[in-house]
Amino acid sequence: MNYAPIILSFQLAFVTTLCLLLIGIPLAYWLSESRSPIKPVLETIVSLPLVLPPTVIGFYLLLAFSPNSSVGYFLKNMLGIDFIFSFSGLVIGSIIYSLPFMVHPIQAGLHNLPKNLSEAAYVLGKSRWTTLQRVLLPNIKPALFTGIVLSFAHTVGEFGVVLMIGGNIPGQTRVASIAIYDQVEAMNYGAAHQYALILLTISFVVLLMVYVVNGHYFKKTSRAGI
Amino acid sequence: MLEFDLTKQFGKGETGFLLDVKAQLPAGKIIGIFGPSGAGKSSLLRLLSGLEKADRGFLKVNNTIWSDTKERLFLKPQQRTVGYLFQNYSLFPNMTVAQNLAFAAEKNIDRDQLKELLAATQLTDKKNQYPKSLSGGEQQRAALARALVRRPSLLLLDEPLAALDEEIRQSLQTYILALHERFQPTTLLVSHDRQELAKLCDLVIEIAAGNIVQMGTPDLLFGDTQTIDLTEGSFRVLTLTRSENKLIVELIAGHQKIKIALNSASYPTLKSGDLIQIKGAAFTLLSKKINA
Repeated sequence: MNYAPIILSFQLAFVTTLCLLLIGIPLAYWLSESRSPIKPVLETIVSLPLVLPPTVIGFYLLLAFSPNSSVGYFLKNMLGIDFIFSFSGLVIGSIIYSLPFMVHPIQAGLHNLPKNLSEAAYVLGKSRWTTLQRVLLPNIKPALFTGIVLSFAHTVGEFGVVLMIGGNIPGQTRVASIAIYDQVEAMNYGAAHQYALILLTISFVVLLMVYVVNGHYFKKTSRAGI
Repeated sequence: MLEFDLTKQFGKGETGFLLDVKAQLPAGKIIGIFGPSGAGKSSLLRLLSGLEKADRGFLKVNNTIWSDTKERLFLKPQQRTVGYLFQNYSLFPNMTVAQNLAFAAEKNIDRDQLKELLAATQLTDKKNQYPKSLSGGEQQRAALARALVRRPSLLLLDEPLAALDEEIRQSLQTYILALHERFQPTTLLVSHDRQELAKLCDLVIEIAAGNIVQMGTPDLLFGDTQTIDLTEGSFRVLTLTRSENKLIVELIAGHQKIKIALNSASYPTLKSGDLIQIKGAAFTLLSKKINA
């Protein structure tokens, strides 16, 4: 069995989750605090990947990154970056596709914290960044954990977006979900089954971990009356 | 001196209200604020702390302007030296008592001062405990100690004892008095408990429907030692303001300055300096100050 697609899936999920942490935390913080009129618009954009077929996202990204578009032309000719049929393109697509899975749990965690916590920090002279880093994030660990795990698992399992942007290049863009599709097309059900079983097991273990860890945390905090 | 003249519209529709408050308060005293729920007591503290921005007006603390809408000046909460004690223990759950205090001090930690505050609130042996393992009273003592770490010029206490039982309230009242005596910040204490206000405060303000309607010593506001019958005798008019059908008159009664609202039509020619007889006229008492 060729493990390269499995390894590539995990590499993609790891890089995507890391990028999503950097983007998702400030975005979720802004959404949880903001009273701006553009907030609903941004919330809708973040949630779009939940309802859109992944192929739609993939199709528009393909158009945007194509050398025929102004964005793609600029990226390729000015910066020398080509997102089409490349690992970095897969990362961009995965970030957009898994964005709600990182942002929503963190936003809900921040929203559910007593407002007094951040206000108490502000009147103690602390900036918004220090408050987020030292007060808010340490008190939403289960939400952070959920965001990380769900984003990782969701990226491992994606198919439509990666197929549209990345195609099916062995070692570069052929992730596990595409390898399964490939094997089924070739009527090679045994190999497809091996990949599928690995993904199923990983997904089950990851979700079980979320429920066990969060269940344990909530039991602890409710006993403590938080 | 704490001086403010602030206006802000909170919310909209039936739940919204206009807070319009003006006062000059002495520095270093404990000033109580009472009034019905939703009158604007906590909202006033939020304006003073900078957690809310006024629509109009200014705030001056010890001759420093903290906000002035005319000058477009607004100091953020982080830039004001405020200690704020919330009703529902606002200690950070991820930090021990000592870490909560150290977080407040941070850049210029004075270990002796932290030790002193822990000792003054009798929390020295609880300093390494997390808030969840403390009782309600201990949590509020720790929050009080934390609010004092930065030596605030303004200490805002928003119903800090409301959720506690009687015995703990009594003991915390003693802590508040002792810590105030020690650090002398100008303190605003919101409370529904008149006994508590009488015990702790030098001056008491009553807020109703977003306005300061009375101000005076607890004795004056809660006691009946200086009752004056406004329907007997004549009183000198200091100022008066006419609106559509209402006449707001500030007058001297005994040694008190009293503000009342009258029917404008009953006093068509009344002006400042006149003597006024209120006998038989319907009036509403708006505020009174002693030592006029």
